[in-house]
Amino acid sequence: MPLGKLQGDLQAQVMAAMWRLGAGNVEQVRSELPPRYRGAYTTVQTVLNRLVDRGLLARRKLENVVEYRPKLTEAEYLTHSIDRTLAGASSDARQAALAALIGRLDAGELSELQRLARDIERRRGSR
Amino acid sequence: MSYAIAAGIATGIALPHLLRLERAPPTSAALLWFQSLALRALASLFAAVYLLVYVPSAEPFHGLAHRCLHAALPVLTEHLGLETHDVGHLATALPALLLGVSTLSVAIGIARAARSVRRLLTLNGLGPGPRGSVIVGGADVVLAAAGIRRPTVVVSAGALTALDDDELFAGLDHENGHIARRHGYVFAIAALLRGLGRPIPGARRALRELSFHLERDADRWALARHNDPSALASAICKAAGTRELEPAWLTGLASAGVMQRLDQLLDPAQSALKRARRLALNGLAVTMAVFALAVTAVLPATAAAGIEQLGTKTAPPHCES
Repeated sequence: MPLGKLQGDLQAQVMAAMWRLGAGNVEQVRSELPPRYRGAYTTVQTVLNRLVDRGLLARRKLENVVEYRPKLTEAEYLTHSIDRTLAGASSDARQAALAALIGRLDAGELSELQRLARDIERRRGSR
Repeated sequence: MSYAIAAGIATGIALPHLLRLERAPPTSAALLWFQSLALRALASLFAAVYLLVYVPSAEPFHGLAHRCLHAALPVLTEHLGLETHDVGHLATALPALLLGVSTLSVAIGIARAARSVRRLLTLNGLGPGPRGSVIVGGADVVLAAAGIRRPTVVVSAGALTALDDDELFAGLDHENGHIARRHGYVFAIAALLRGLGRPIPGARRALRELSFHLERDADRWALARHNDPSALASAICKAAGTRELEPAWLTGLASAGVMQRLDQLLDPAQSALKRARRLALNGLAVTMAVFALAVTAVLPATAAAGIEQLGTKTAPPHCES
C-alpha cells in the first residue's frame, strides 16, 4: 500500500480508537486498533504526536506515562458545518467568501479524478 | 476618438475569449479576464447612462415615445392618466434600474456569505490547526481560505486525518497563497463587475476563467514554497473524492478546471509556454490593464461633460395627450 494512503488510513483509525477509549497511552491505543493497522509502538506514537501537532488530540504527562485524548468529539468530526453555512449562498458569493481547494465537480470529472488519484498514489508510493 | 475607444473596449472584452490562456502565466491570464469583466461593466454602465440621459433628450425620442406609446399602450396613457413621456422615460430608466438591482444583489450575497463564514469560524471553530489554520467539523477533506477582509485558512477534521504531511502542507500553502495574493478581494470585485456587465454575453465564462487562473496562481504559490507537485495533486484528488456531487447546472457555474490544474501539476514541462509567448502575453495583459484603467478614468468625465452640455440646451416640450 502506498505510504501516503497508509498514513491517512492509520490517522483515521487512531482517531476512531481515541473516541472509543476516551483517553489512553500509546499501548492502549495500539491495542484498540484493528489488527491490520496495529503497527510498531513507535509508528503509533508518531501518528499520535502528529495528530497532537495538527490540533486533533491533546497530550499530557501523568507520572511516567504520556496520555492522549481527543480535542473534538466524534459528533463534531462528522458535522458538515462549512457546507451547511453556505448552503443558501449563490455560486459567486460562495466562491468569494470561501476559496476552496477544489471547485464543484460533475460525475464525469469525478471518475476521471479517481483514476488520476490512483496514478498519483502509485507514483508517490514508488518514490 | 470615441470610435477608437469603443473599438478598444470591444477588443478588450473579446481578447481573452480569443486567446488560449490555459497555460499562460496565471497573473497575466487573470489580469486579461479581469480587465474583460471591467470593460464589460463599463460598457454596460455607459449604455445604461446613455439610455437614461441622452436618449430622452434626443428629438426622435419625443416623436417616437409620443406616437408609439399612444398607439401601443392606450390603457396606460388614457385610462390610467399616464403621460406618454413618463412611460418613455420609465423604459429608458429600466436598464439602469436592472443593472443596479443586479449589482446590489451580488454585493448583498457576498456580504452575507462573508458574514456567515466569519460567524462560523467564531462560534463553530473547533480550535487551532496547523500553520495558523482553524479546524472545522466535517469528515470530508476541506481546505479553504475563508472570509474576505480577514481571511483565515480553514481545515476540516477529515482533512487532518485523511492527508499525509506532504499533502496537508501543500494544501495549506495553496490556501495561504489565496490569502497572500488577496484573491478574495479580486474575486469579490470581479463578481460585482460581472453583476454590472451581465447584459454582455460571456460574463459568466469570464468569471469562471478568472477563478481558474486564481487557483493556478495559488498552486504556483504553494509550489514556490518547496511543496511536491504530486502531493498537491494528491490532496486535490482526495478533496475531490470525498465531495458530494453538485447538481450539473451548479457545476457549470463554479468548476475551476480541476483536471487542467492536475495536468499542469503532474506534467509541468508539457504545460510550460515558450519564453517569447510568455513575455508577449505578459505585455498584452499589462497593456490591456492600462487601457481599462484609462477608459475607467475617461468615461465618467466624458459622460459628465455630455450631461452638462445637455443641461445648457432648452428642455424639450412636454407632449400633450
